[in-house]
Amino acid sequence: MSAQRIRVIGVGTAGAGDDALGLEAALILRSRLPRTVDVVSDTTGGSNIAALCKGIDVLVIIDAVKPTPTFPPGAISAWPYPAMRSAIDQSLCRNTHSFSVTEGLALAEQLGVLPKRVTVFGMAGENFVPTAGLSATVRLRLNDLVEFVLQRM
Amino acid sequence: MSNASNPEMRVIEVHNLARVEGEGSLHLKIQGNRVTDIRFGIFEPPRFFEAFLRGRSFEEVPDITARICGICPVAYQMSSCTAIEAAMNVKVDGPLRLLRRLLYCGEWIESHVLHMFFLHLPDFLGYESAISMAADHKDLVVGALRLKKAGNEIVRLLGGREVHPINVRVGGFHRVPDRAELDALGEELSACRTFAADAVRFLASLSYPDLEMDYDCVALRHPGEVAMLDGAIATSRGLEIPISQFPDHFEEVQVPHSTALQGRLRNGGTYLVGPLARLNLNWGLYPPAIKKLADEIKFTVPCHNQFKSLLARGFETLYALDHALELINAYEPPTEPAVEIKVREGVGHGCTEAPRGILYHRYEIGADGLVRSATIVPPTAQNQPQIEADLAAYAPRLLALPQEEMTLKCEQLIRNYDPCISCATHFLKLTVDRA
Repeated sequence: MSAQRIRVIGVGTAGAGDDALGLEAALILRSRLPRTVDVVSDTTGGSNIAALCKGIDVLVIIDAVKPTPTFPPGAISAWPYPAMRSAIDQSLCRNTHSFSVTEGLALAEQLGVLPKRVTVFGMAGENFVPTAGLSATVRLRLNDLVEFVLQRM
Repeated sequence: MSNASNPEMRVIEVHNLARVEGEGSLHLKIQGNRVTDIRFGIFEPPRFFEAFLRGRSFEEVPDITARICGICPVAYQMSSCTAIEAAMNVKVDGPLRLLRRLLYCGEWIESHVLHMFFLHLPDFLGYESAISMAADHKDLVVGALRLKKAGNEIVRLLGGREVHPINVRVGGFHRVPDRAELDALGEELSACRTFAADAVRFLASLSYPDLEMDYDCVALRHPGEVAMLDGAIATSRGLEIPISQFPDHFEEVQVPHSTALQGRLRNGGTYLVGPLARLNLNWGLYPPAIKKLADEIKFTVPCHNQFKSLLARGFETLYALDHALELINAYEPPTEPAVEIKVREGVGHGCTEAPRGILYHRYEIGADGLVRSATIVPPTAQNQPQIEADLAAYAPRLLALPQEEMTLKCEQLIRNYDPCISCATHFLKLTVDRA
């Protein structure tokens, strides 16, 4: 691990099925990463991203992704931002009430606070039903997601 | 677009309104200089929350209703708690009531700041979005993000998390904070005070269309404080009633173009709820420092220009920030986190001031503690007819404008209301025709 200042944001909503996978991954990463890496959970979608960009060189975001026939539940991907901006925008769940992750990143970019390296990690969810926990598919893949993130940080 | 067969006719269609919460549309038909059809459509699917609640324990209601809205979940929790407590003949007072007000301050701040600076301000400054606005107004956006985060932090501390809080219960809270936790919060709020006041000054420098309407303003009124949680329902035309009489004076009707019911007075009149209505009815209770700022920027009350609801939100944000600091400084932890509830059969009404206006709840609870019936009347549902009335008055003034500009002006008017469409869509009338 380099001396770069790193922040990991697990994004999602607890109690809304697989929308919580970013929060759950952040919990595991907090126990796996050195204390020099700041790991936070954020349930506001993307509205805190610009504020959370301060004072870091590397930003890692983990969020749930909509499943598609070619990206089924449990599939994992990593997208560098801004290079793959449109792929992130198409894949992540949108927030009709506040900023989405891509809007939060775009705002950080406009404000000139975007860190040098930003990577968004997404895993496709299966079930986004309110009051539900993680689906079995996602729960079984959660450690794979964490390993995937650790290898690329 | 103009109609080829009838050049006098213009139709404005906005299929997906931007920078509002939820999914809505606008259809406006103009014949000559007369508006012949207005439909502020809500096509978001109905969500059936009142039906979900039937048969559930009263204890589950605050957590279920919090799910109605990601921006104003506290309002749903507070209205449901106060209604159920009324049904159970329980009074929540003292430090617990003050903590509820503090929680509500957090929601007013985060919701108002989101709307003022990120959803509505781009209209006034001529930007497509807050993101494009940020490049030219960096300090404003950074300050607004910090202020919004401070509001979210109040909700997180008292509610357990920023969105859909989980720490509220009928009778109070599951856990109450200690002094040290609140002190840290107070420091951040104090740091945002200068920005919040300067932001109101900045908003006052904007150019506002001069649309004045004869609104019947409706808001809660409390004799000793700016009402948030309780009081009487008052109107600017002199009605003042207990919350339990809301159904006697107000009703909801269904219209074909909306999956949300529309609120109106039982005499058929439209009315206005929200920040401007609250300010008009409760200005006398505002602290001198805020009134002084109003004098400085030449803001006069009553104000009947709903475009200036942007300023009303600014004053309410400042009030919520100052009031939150007062509550934090005076905080004495309650001896118990909640008042004991003894289940009994009953009907209860609750009404609190959500960021967008009064939010009325009514519950009938059985002796087993299960909900027998629930009624929820959100502020956006109540404001819908007034939005259409505003459009009817405003659109004829815009006829000389190019189509695109006229459309943007109409959208801006709708955004004056900060409509929360997701909140409003609770109902669908289902008719089964059995031949």
